Amino acid sequence: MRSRYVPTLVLVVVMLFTGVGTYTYFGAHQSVVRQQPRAPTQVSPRPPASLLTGTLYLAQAGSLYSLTSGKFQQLTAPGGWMQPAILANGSDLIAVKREGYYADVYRLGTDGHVVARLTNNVAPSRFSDIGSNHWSFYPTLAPDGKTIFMSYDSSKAFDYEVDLAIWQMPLAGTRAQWRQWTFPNNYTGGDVQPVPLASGGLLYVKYDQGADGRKAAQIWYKALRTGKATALTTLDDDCSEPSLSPDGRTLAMICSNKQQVSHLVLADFNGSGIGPLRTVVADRLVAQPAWAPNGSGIAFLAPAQAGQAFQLWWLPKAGYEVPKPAPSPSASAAASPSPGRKASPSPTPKASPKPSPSPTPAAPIQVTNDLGFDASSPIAWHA
Amino acid sequence: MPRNRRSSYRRAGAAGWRIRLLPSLSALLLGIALAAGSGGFAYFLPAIITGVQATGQSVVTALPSPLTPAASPVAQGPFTVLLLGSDDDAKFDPKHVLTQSMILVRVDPAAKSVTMLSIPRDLWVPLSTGGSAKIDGAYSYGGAGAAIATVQQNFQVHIDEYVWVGLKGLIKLIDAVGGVDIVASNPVLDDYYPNDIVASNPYGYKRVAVLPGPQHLDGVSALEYVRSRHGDLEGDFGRSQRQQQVLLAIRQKAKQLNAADIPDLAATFSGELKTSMGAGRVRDLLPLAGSLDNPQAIRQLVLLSPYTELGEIDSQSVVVPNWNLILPLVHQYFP
Repeated sequence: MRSRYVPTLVLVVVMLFTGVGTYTYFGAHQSVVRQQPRAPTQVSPRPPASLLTGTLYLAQAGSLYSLTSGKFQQLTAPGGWMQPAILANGSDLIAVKREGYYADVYRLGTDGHVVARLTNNVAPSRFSDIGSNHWSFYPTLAPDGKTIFMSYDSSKAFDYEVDLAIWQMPLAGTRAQWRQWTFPNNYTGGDVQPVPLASGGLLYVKYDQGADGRKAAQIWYKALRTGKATALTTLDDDCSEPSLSPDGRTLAMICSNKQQVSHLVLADFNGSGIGPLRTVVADRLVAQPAWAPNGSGIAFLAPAQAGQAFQLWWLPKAGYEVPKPAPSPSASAAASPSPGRKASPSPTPKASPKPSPSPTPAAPIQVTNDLGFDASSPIAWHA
Repeated sequence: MPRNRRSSYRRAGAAGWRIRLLPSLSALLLGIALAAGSGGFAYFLPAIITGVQATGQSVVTALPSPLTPAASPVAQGPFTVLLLGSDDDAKFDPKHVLTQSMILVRVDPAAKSVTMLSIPRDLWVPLSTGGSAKIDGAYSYGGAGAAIATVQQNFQVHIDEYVWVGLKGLIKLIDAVGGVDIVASNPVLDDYYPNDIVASNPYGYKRVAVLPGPQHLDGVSALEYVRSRHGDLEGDFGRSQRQQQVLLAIRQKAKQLNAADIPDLAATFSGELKTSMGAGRVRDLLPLAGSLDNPQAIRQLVLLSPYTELGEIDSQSVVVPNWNLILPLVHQYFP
């Protein structure tokens, strides 16, 4: 009798496991595109993180993180923190704390504690209009270490117009000491991402409408002494997020050509103008290029796969450095006449020297796997 | 007992075991199959429910050809879909919402090309339900049928399918696929953005700032990006371009989904999605989305000047169509 129930019981158990197993199997085979990014402190970055010397400061989900010697540390609790910049001596950070209707610039210790609130963009309570609040974004320290440049929406001229302009404010000072440096094109979103230069110039991004009616970004240079401004890129290039190399001779930026792509592009910089644009990373949605303080490469943010969250990447110098032409002794001997000797054309055509194979440029290296950095937040990097 | 007889007994005994085991084995296999089927059915149940509720919507237009789910043209030739997006917050009667977004999409599976034409919501046209008004009112007056008929009769184009999605549906869809990557064309700043999704007072406003450049947006931020229109030099046309960007970003994400994702996606759509497409056709479209991966084969059209001009009719700010220019364009890209 008992033996008749055993197979039934076995069948029930097998069916139960099969049913639950099938359900679980499908659940476990969902695509990875829906996975939520993890906190940087929950994971170990990939070994290439140790290539990044010094300390990087990044933002994810409203928190600031530092990355030193391949280890992340959370500096602030989640609370709208973004866009860190570091004082030249590395003693303090400045960063934006974004609230619902306004965003302010704060000075923070490198461990994330608040030293001072530098702006107060909350509308006084007597103003019922939420448009009386203000945004401060992209704070950057000038080389003098005492001045901050940032994007700020001042009082609006018309009801619906909200455009950012580049403003200057002292690191320690009052609102009366602020100064507006740029005047945005109306209803474009305005001017953003200032990069103050030691020479007294200012690089920034201005939005404008192209001949095709579409808005795009342009990198501008402004001489602060004379006030003369020059566009360095065209609206068709659609370049933004400028970052100047430590030696001040190369400008990194991203260019989108008005498409849903963004390439990492470099150009020689002579202090007020740039040379031809040179694309060095074209197959990724690149954001926020940041030079290593020692000039060994460029870090940037990009998704590992289209549509996914932004990870940290590293492009070593070998990935963008223009290879110098290899010297060819025979060719140079034939081309350069010796002193006192008249160069004469060779009577018989010589076989042209074989070009030495140019080294393959180093590919970008993915530093993090399953994080989701704020790609609208620049990376700060201190040696 | 002779050896050969013992052997034949053993064979007979083994055969008997096999015969006795056969029903048990069959029962076991049947049980496993039933259990696996039940597990799969339970997993895909949300998709089945949504499939029944939201897909295969039958629409009768005012025009002679009723739009009903038909034999799938997807696998065979080009087809045209009208995408409709509505403010469906508490300010509106759910049965009479305006369409803030109307995008005509033509997909050519053989050529692996997509053409998107954004129709300005303020376009002043004769409605299929009678009279003239802004085209965003067509859906409000007569549902999807009226919206489709109005577009068909004015643009002289045949529409094979429609998809309607509400604001919350768009947020849920984008969150369900884990967010989208876009390159924001400029800072999108709006001091008077409708605060009507989660606020108790749907008539309030909030400040919005979507910063420029490449970024990963969740559903709420993506909606802010595509819905904001106050601070845009190009007005509703700028918004149309942003909507097309996000649509392409969603398509990019759809390429990476698989069948196991469908139940969760379907569950997010309760009441926020309606389409004339049957569940089978939706299933067919997922791999098609994956094959459309050449950016050069994706054409985005916006009816800027001289195709349209801003005007005022009946004290309303409207967009006045220049049909002499629009119709040749439509005939070229939506033959």
